[in-house]
Amino acid sequence: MDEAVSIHRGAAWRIQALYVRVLLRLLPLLINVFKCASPKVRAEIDYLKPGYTFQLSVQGADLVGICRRTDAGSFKRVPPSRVARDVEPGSGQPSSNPQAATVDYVIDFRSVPFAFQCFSGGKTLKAALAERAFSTRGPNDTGVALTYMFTALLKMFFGWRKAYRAEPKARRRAEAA
Amino acid sequence: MTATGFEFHCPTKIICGQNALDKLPVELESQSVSHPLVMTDAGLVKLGVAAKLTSVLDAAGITYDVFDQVPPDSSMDVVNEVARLYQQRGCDGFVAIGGGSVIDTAKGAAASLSCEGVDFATLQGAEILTRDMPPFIAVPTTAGTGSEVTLVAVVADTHKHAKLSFTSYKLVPHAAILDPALTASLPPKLTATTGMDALTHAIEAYTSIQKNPVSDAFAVKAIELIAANLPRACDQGDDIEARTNLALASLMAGAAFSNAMVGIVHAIGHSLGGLCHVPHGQAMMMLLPHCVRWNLDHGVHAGLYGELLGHLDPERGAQLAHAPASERDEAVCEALFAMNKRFHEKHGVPLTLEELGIERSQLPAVAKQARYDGAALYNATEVTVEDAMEILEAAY
Repeated sequence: MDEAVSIHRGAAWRIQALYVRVLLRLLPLLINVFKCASPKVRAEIDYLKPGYTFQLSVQGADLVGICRRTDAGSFKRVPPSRVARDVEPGSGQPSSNPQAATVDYVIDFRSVPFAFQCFSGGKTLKAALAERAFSTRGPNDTGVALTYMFTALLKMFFGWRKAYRAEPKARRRAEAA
Repeated sequence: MTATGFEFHCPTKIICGQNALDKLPVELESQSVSHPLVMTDAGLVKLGVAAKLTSVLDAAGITYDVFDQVPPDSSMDVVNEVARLYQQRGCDGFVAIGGGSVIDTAKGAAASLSCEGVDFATLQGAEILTRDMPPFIAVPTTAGTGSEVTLVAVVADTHKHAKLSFTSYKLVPHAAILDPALTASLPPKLTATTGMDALTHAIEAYTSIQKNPVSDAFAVKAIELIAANLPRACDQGDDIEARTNLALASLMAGAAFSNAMVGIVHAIGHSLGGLCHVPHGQAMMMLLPHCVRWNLDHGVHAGLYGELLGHLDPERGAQLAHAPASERDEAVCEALFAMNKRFHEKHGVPLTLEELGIERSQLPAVAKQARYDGAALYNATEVTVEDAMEILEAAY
């Protein structure tokens, strides 16, 4: 048991955790910058209502990023201290504290290496889903929109990596002909 | 072997065969259930199907309560009502006898109880539940949904006109009883649509992004059993062997898709069900060949469908054993259209959206909702509104 822990918490694990932590911190900024370049990212943000709040977290590590959609269609970071404590994230229930932010949707990676692989382009989000590398909580439709948004975002960064180049695409009829 | 990681989970005890229902009392005892809540619907009560189960309980002297008001498109309100009834009556396990709606409603109530009465609506998503359900025995009366072994529960949100899906390993029933006597009275039309629903589960599981060697084995066997037995069961409802094989095929397809998930056919089908109230099996039957056609036209799953030909149509499979993969793909698509045509001509199953009274003006909303359906995520390619519209137009 001790040996297993030391393997998981070795130098590689710590570097990966640091990378994921930085990325989670920068997430709203990255979305806001890249939505200008990608109509696809913008379209998915438009699907989410103002005030929609999502959380990305990683099991086995103190890594959480929470972002809230503004009326203007951008995202702002929500400090974990501002999140409601009386309702579970993703449950859709209102908090008794009107000042507290409630989380509409949660994507919870099962480990740091899984999160790192996705956020570094080693694995597409779809491939991670295929492996059940994360669990989700919240309404399906907005979860799907978020997944499309992150997929587009990650592809902009890591489209050159093997995982994205190998992704199956539907050929348009004209292209097929 | 596969290099991709996967999970497969199917802990359900399967009790299958003629008179399998007689084993219910022993099964309840082995699960320490002394006062089950029997869940069913009014139609099954009227047809005397539910009585086949309650008479077994009566004969064994087991006390039970009955909730027989599960509607065809069950809702959160019903789920919460059942959970309340279960607690009020001091029940200690569920026996759900019915189709997908009954079993899924019971799953919802059981999951809600395992979370100490939490509203099931707040548990949407994947892999959220951490506690075990109360003892749960599923007794399917249709051979289609596979809900007796799946980790999925689909319940309608009547306010949003959408189907909400919940997935968790904790939603898998503890036992499934497959007794052909329970499906023998199913009319040919319903036998055909529910059977094609099971076929869709198997084919979509085989082509899903979560496909894996274990789910593939279940899917392939399910396809083989459905192809061989569905026409027989439609033509001769009391063919016990065909009914048993179909029930088993539905279960195996359920185990396959429970672990590999489904794709575009279900994404559009859920949307048609939520917005236009098209029965699920009917939607699956109608959409399956059109989605396969669309995929092949767009280079999706090329070669993969062809692998199923020998199981779906053994004769054609043998003829094309050495043919190019594209030819085998096409043969699978043709076989699916031919199956639908047969059920249409012999049993009057509708094959177009127009026949079902759907207005063309409804299609864009259906296509948009399909893009954002949970099943769309497991499709190999992203489901766009345009793609869904093309398929809906083809099925119109």
